[in-house]
Amino acid sequence: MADERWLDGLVALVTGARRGELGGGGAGIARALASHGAQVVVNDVTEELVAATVGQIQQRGGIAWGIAGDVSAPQDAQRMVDATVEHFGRIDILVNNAALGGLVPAVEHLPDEVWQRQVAIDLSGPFFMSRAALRHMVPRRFGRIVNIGSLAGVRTGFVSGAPYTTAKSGLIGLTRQMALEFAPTGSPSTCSCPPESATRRSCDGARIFSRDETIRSDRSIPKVSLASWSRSSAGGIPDCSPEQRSR
Amino acid sequence: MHVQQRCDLSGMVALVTGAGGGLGPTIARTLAEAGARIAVNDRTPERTAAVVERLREAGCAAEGFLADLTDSAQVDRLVQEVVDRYGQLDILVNKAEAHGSGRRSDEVTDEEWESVLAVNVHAAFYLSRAAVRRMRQRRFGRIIHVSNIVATRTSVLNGVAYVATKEALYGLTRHLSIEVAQHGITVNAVLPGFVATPILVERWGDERIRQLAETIPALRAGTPEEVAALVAFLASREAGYITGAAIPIDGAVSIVPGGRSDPSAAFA
Repeated sequence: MADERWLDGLVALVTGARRGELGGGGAGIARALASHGAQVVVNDVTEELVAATVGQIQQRGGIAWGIAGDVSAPQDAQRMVDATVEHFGRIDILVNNAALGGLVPAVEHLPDEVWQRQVAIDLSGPFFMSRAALRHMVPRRFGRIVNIGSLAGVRTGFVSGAPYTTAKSGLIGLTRQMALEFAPTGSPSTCSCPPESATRRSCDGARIFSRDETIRSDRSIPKVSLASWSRSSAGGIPDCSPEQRSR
Repeated sequence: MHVQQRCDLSGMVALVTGAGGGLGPTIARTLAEAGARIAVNDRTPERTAAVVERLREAGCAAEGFLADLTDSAQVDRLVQEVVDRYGQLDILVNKAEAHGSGRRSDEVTDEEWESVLAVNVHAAFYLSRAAVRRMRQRRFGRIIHVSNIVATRTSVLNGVAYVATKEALYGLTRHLSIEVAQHGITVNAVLPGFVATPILVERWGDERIRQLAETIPALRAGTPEEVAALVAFLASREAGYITGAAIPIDGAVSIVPGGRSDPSAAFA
């Protein structure tokens, strides 16, 4: 149905989009975007992880292309976004889904490397990716950046430690500041970053996002990303559908 | 109200980072007046020596300790030196912070992002970790991060790195507070709004400060002494049930609907 292809013509880059039990969130988002007509760039850390999701989307008749890279490396982030623009001619949607969580030792026993790695992937990664994407979105006056947050960023994590909670909190600040800077009013760009763009518990991620239809229908997720992209979205939550581009 | 009467910190040892600038000297002096012995750190030997001198002139027992807070080995050594000198560490006031350039997100450099993250997030973690290891042994501790009300808002002056890292610092505050609550250790953040620090008064002048003050429900800037009094209270034994909190001290500016977005101007 035409109605279901409200992302026709848009190009989306989804980070951390591997298939897998706990890594299924990004793959589910990528599938959902493709099923609504978007041309999707699937990112994860290795070609193998990327290929599985790309193959799944293509099997369903969607358009997908994969690119491996590390979101926490600034040059890699820029390279992946630039490659997206080179391949599809544009980038309209960036979903910062890649994250590293899980149980880690208590703070007093937490090694530097564990702390730094999670903060780099979960907080610096979305910044580097967003910055790279904004450089293409701003001149075209259209863009949607959706940061996949966590309840850990609002309260604390159930199955995660200090670096995850810290980084996911920072992600909310990042989202808020970018929303201010690139909001439609008083800015040449219409990139929007809803403050509570998507909130999920990491342990529920695979279940919530495992099926495309779940993503759109699950009303229990506060202001969840893809629900907010539907035509019926209200309350100032940005709409990714093409007709919104003229705003 | 006399803070030194309400908040008795006698017998306690406090480490204050970023003690040389902004609210730092007032916080250090207030803790000293409440009875704590004070270890201070700032980013250069000169700044550290200067604040030690000021505190001693004010009759406060203070000593300077040097360390680059973005280096975890140096932070561990700093805390070790404080404990070697005083035998304990009861209070950590982490006031050191890095500002952002205020550039728009797509123009913020790698260097800016990494350097602001290093001070506002990584250093806070290194300090908290080292402090908790000491505090647990005595089953008492107070960790107080001096953050900023922009952690709950946005900042035109400081930009994305500052806002993101300050919000991240609140995440660390929440998480750590749960981990250490059972050990008698509290972890809190204070969120000052527009505070008329000496350097701000010097840079801005009275007229500009007065204009900004008109946009604040309290119709005035806060004073360093008011922030220091809150820090001293959070450091006291009486505040033992307050933990995991981020406490605004901003004349209500952060809850004005459609209000100013940048009370961080106080820290310019």
